[in-house]
Amino acid sequence: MNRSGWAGAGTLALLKQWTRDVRRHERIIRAVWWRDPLGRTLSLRRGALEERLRLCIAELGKRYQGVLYEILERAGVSQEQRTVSQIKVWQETQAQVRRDPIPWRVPGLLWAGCTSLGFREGALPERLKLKLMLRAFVEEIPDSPERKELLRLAYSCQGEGFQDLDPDEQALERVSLTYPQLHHQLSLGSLRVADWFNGALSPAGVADMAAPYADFDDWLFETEETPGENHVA
Amino acid sequence: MSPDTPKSLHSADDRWAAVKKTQKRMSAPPGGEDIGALLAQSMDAYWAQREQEVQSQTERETPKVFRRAAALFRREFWSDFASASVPVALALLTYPTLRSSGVLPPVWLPWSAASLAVVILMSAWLGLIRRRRMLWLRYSMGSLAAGLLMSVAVGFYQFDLGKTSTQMTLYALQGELSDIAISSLQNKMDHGTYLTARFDASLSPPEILTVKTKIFNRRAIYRATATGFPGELVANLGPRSGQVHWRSRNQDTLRVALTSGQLKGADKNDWIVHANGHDLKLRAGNRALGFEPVLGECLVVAYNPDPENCTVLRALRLDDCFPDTTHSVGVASSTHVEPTDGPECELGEKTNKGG
Repeated sequence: MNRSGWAGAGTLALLKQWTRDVRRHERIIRAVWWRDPLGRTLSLRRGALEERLRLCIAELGKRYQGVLYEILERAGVSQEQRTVSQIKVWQETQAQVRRDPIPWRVPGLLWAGCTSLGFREGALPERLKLKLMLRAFVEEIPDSPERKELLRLAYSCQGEGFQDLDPDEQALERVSLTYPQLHHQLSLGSLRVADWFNGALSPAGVADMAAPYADFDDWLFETEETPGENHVA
Repeated sequence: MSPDTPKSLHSADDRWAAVKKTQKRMSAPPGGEDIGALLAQSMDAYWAQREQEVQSQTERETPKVFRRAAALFRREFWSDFASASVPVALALLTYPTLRSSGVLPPVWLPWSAASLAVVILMSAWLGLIRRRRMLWLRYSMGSLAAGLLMSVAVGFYQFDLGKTSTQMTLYALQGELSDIAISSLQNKMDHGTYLTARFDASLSPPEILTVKTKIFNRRAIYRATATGFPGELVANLGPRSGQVHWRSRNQDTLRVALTSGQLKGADKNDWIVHANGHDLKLRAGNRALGFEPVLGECLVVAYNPDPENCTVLRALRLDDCFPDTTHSVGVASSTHVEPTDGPECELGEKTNKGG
């Protein structure tokens, strides 16, 4: 995947590329000429690999930026520390990926990275875990204005000006229209759902969901009725 | 809400309030730093740290001895080795030319080998003093290895030149002793006495030729040695024939055979000499004669007994021909050499014709 292709690539494909490159990078770092001569040879392309890793993590960082800020905010991390904390989370995640380079475990590792920052038990609502893990599935929905709306409202930082906007029913309607497709994507990947959601959502849970899929609303947005510790299994 | 009843969406106002609340929580810190760019920048530091960790881990996991050995073979080793190997390669390439042209004096070899060893040891010792630890080895192993290679090359030169020198001395001694032996045999057959030879003479420097003689009733033994030459050459003469042997380290090699006989045939290439009841076919060498051979005359001949060669090395005329003898002469001395006529150069069946 080249640089220009990353912006349009799905998050799942991006995660696959990233984990594969992280594994290669780890091999190069660990290669000793008398133990892994091939790995040593690969180091000739280390510069190009590291450049790709930088671009890849920059793109992933942008995509997960919103939800990670939300998690950190809920955990009580001060505004000044959120950027640094987010970088720490990614570094911790990368350290884990080096040991276990499986793409669909990355969101779980991001969540583990957040919790490893030393938050008190139960500080983070479970819905944020689900929201974090749904991020890759949203992009598996075919590109459409509805999907863009969902990404804009649920995962993009719109800035302080967003608070002054009047209710936009059409936008909400477009978001609602993506829920069946999102459910469809989860059903397609049901074999991996257990792995992907790290126990927060099971294939049976996905099968039980029904239109209009209001659960997605609760997971993606902080509704008044969103319970602090709701757990879907 | 029962499990069978699908949960419905909230009202638009509630949903929009939730969106706003979520957006507020997701808002980036003031300053609007690009998290992607910051992450990309932080990677270099992270990778450097990771590399350090892996290196420490590898060092812990690898046995110390193996790590030391691996460290010796890093690029310093190869660069030192390559640079030190250049003179070796040049020396090896030019050696055949120098040797064949005679430019290379054998004397410098031991001195150069010793000097090289001293230089290597001194540099190693200085490195040891400077570093006070064995780490100097890491930077000197390439040079040491090349020095070792150079020493092997010098040793090879020494061996090769020594071998050549031995061969040259052997030919010189053999020529001298063959001359003495053939002259003595001629004198014995013409005048009844062997010649006495006891002298020191100078061959090509630095060898000094020493010849000693022992004369018995029907036998004479001449021994020739030279300084630096392994073993001795022994000429063992009977009344009508003899042999020259090279005795070295319990090995006994026949070098020259001497016989007396009648010339039965001769052309520019070959002689047929009837001696001791055999016909010998000998190749006429360049050094064989100072006279034109005449058929029927009797000669004393020194020749190379190698069946592939059978070349006449020396030949002298006899005053008279003696009756043919079919038996080898007896051995009068303690030497184990049994003089024969060198049947390797025999031609055809044994005959009993008189000379």
